[in-house]
Amino acid sequence: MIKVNFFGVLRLDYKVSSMDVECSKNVTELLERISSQKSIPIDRLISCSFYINGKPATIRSRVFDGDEVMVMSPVAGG
Amino acid sequence: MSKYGGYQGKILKIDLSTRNISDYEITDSERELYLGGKILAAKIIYDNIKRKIDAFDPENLLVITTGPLNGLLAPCSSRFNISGISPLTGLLTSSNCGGTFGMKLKAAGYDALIVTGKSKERIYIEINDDKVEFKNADSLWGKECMATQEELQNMQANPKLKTGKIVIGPAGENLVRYACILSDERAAGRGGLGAVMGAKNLKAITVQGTHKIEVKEKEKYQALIKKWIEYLRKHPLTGNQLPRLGTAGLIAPMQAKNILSTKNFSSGRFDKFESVSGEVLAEKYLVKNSGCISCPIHCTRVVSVNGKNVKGPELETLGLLGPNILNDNLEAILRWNYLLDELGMDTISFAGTLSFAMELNEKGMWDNGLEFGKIDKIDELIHDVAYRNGEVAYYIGEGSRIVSKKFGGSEFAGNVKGMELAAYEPRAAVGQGLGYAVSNRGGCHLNGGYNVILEGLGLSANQYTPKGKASFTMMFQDLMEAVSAGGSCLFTTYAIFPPSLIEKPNSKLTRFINKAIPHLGSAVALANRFPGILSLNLPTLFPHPLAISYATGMKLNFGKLKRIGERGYNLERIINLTLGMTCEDDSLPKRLTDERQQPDNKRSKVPLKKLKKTYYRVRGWDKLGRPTKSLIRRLRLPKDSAAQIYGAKAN
Ligand code: SF4
Repeated sequence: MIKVNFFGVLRLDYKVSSMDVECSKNVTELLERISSQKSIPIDRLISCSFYINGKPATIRSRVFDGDEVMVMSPVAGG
Repeated sequence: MSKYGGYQGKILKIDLSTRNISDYEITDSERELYLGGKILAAKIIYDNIKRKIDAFDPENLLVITTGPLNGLLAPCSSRFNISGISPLTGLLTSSNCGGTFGMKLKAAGYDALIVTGKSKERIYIEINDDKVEFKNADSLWGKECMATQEELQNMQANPKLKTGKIVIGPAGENLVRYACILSDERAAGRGGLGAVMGAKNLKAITVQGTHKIEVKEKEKYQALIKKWIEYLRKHPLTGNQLPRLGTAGLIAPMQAKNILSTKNFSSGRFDKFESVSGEVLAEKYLVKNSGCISCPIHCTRVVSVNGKNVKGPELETLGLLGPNILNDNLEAILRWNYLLDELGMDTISFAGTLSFAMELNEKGMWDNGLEFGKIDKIDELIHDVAYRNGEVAYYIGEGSRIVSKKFGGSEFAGNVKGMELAAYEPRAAVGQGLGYAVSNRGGCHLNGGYNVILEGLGLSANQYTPKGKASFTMMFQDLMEAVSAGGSCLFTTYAIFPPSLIEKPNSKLTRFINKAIPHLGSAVALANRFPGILSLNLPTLFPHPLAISYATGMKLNFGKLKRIGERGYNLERIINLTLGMTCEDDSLPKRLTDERQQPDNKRSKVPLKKLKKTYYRVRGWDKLGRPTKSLIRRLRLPKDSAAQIYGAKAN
């Protein structure tokens, strides 16, 4: 099981802060599953930044059982 | 008088010692050179303070300035500036505020207000167009900021007509070195000018007026403003992220990039960051968003504290009263933020001094009872600091530099030149580290150039390389200087990033730009040196120079505005050098330059020596960080400024 935490306006748009997802492949597959479970357009998810256990990742990065993945829609400024 | 639109052509000078009221003359060519806001204020201070003085000396000036766009309904153009010598740094400080005072000052017929001297009695000043009155403030003294403003409003001849106000709270009266000045709910937060008002026995100023402001090219101006507002409303940052998450939305990306100052700047990550994030703030506590007058962005959080709707915390306050003291209680931060505002203190400097005191206690260097993660006594401490009750609170009210002089620990005292750092941990954003170190007003992220926007909070250029950072720092410092002087909120500049770069961080183009940024240093340095090559206007991405041109009748473009910013930045530097600052003061606490933030990443510290050397070179400063005589000439800075910093023979 992968724990996914959401940040940025995406989280407010879809009212989803975190979820557990079954996935043993890579971030792309993880996003596809999130997309179908939460009805979030895949384009929206692909344009996010990803961190696996605190380390930067890409859509090709592998995920493993027990990983914690941060999905953050684009944020800037301050 | 001025031939330019956008200005009232009049500056009021009030001497509190003699109660003399006079007009302060500046010429149109000075308006062309120094525009307004913090740059014009620097020119006034330069002309009047030629030697080191104490911030609490009656000779210190409070210079309240507006910019040409203030009051003309351009987006985010209620912002005005207050400058003076800072009790925290002993150097020049300027603080920007979004309250209504600036617009009302212009409506009263003034572009700026200079307050000098010291009143014998506690007073406030009431300005109604040409009429200036000194009024007894005994009944207001001791009152908190909101209560003071309410009372002042009720005391107006017509209480229904909203008057512009600036006020101080008990912290300013009691000379807390980082006391702020409030106008409505907005603070001129940084640098302690509230204490300067307190030292002058000045509780408040109210202003009201009936003057109109001329706009030179009205139709063009209005059409541009309309498009500008539309663009800001559509842009992903200014139209979506800032209104919905506020600046608080940065907590999560700062965590992701190791930039979230934690445990008194000893780390860039906090396990419980989510509890104090903008997302949780929006989900659990946000009543609504709101904004300064004439702002289409509305980044302000309105939250409920003790059943009352009040202004919520900014990112800095969340970071520094959250992770930096190992606190994950967001409700407590909302309350402290409100208390600090009411008592009139800068949340950043209070929090930075607090985390430093906690570490001193942990290390056994100062037995003060303050512990990381222990928050039950903070409400009481905030009161005690404002009223200077007891030794611990007294020293916390002095700021971290004075505390470090008394108890040691300067290597981990989070300040630069005496001003506490903002919430960005610079060992994972080394360009921001440079900015903090060289910033004219001390540990300020904005005056430091806000390089972090390239280093992870917007774009994702290499966070650890010094390459290219000095040139970008100069470019951003100058631009922000000028935008602020024009009268706009700095957040309007975020729209300079084309939406696609922000919305598609993984696209080939964005990745290419991220990779290219460090290599663009030479090109940016060239543009810094010859801003004439930037003689263009970007009416959508950066409409500021065009808006100022239409309002005033000046002929500005990107390059010319940048040059005004550069002039301002150098003039501020010259003032600081006159006040005794040296290149040694362009420094960071040793923790940030000598200790790795991440044990396995040898680049995770700020290579300040190298960055500073390049920065001085691109700025055209000598090895001692002084603007060279040729730069002074090129920027048309005051002729005697070379003598000020090099000695009398320089001319
Ligand atoms: S963006 Fe925020 S700080 Fe700037 S003017 Fe608008 S509300 Fe004020």
